[in-house]
Amino acid sequence: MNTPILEVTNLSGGYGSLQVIWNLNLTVHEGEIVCLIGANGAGKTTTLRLLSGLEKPMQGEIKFQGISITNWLPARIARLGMTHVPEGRNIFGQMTVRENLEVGANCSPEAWRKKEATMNYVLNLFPILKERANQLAGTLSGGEQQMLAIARALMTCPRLLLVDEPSMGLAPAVVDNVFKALREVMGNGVAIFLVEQDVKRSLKLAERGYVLENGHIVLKGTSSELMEHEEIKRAYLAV
Amino acid sequence: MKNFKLKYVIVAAAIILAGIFPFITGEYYRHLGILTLMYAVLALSWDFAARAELVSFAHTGFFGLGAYTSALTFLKLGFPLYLSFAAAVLLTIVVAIALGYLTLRLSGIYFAIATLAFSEVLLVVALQLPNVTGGAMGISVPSLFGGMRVYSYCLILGILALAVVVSIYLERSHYHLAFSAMRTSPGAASVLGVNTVRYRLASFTLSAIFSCLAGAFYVHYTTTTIPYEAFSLTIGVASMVMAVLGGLYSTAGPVLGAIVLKIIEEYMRVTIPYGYMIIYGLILVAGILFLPKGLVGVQKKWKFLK
Repeated sequence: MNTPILEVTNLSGGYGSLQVIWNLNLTVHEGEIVCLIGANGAGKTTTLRLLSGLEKPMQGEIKFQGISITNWLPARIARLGMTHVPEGRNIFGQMTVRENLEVGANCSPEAWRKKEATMNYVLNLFPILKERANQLAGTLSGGEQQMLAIARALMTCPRLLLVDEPSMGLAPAVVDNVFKALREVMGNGVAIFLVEQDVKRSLKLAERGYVLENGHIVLKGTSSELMEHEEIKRAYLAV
Repeated sequence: MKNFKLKYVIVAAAIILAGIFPFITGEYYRHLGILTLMYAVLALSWDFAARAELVSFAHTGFFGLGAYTSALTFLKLGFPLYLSFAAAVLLTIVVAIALGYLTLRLSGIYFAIATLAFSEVLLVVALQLPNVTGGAMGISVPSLFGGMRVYSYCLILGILALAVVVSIYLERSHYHLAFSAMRTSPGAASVLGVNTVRYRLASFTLSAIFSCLAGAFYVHYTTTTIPYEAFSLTIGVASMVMAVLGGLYSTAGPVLGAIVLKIIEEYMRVTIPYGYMIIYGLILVAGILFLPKGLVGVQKKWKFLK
């Protein structure tokens, strides 16, 4: 079995005095895709924000590649190899597609040295971005922006990608493209922790999954186990 | 290709004009030129902070700190002129980093208020330590280069050239990427490895250094200053207005803004004896309404200037 790249123990967190996440325990292994599924408001995005350092945890520990990164600044976590693809994409609209990618490459001296090679790789992964390279990112369509957000995160040469709702607001055909790309990324040895509302698609892509409800993990297992689970079928898969 | 060359012709002409200006004009225009260049340094320094999305009122404080540190080390410790400038810059770096660590985690309006308080505190300190600073009476130093304005002009032009070099470096290096990213979305930038606090601190410190140099130059050039003048908020506000009107986040913008506004201001002051500030204010309002990207934004409308 692979060693865990991400280990979260008893993580709690929230906003101000409002606690959203309660005693989360989860692991992601090298090079696998794990998904976190749950309804609106279950705390999925908050979980990712805690992992990437955008929010400070109330308690608990986050270990990445064996190093405790609890309370680290987001930039330092990104440099260690965990990069967050935020919900709603958050691309830099006033910059060109190429500049957006360069911001990612600026993450560490190592990523900057590999810039050209990584850029070739991501532009082959998302050929549409190659055509748009010198266009302002704000002029891209929603799907293209999502691809850019993922490509930009890949420019940091991550070991683990935290992807928040990549399907949000996209046409099904575009979602297929994005998910295909994620599978390819995993094939290149990058682990992915995926947060999604589209449960069916996520479980097809991921090897394992966690189910989040009201800030608690209520179920976990391999994707096939979860897909057969009565609760999941009833609540999320509408079978 | 022709247009591409025109831009360089304009820049070259501007450099030559700036170089020969003090030799072809009289004392009055030399004086005006010197103040304009000083404001260009201030406007550019304000823009350095703005690039990292910092609206700072600390420039007033650093201007006064530069003026007082340079004057006092020159007078009381007998430092040579340039060493007194260096002392002012060193102190400014220390103060800027300390202030930055305390305030840069604040966002937007809270940061602006904290920097405003900093400038006001320095004003009070300068007023309340008469033994050191001369209190409300201010300080006097011997005139710069024995009153030879040509040399003063060259000195401030040199400081501006340094600021321009720093500005171009910021525009062409990884700072540009980080700054633009932070301005759009600090959160998204930080999860991509942009250390927002470090970049803000760098831009804040660089910006403080040039405000300080302008202040140090100012006190030696005018030979006397009082706290209410050296720590006057007008300085910070004027540099902000010049940067905004000229065009933010660029090298040419703040410099152009300083030149144009200084010329308009002086022309108004001479031709309209009373209430010229009202007309000046109206021009500013019109400028901001009709040129949202500043004077440098005009070149995008007139393609031939590109």
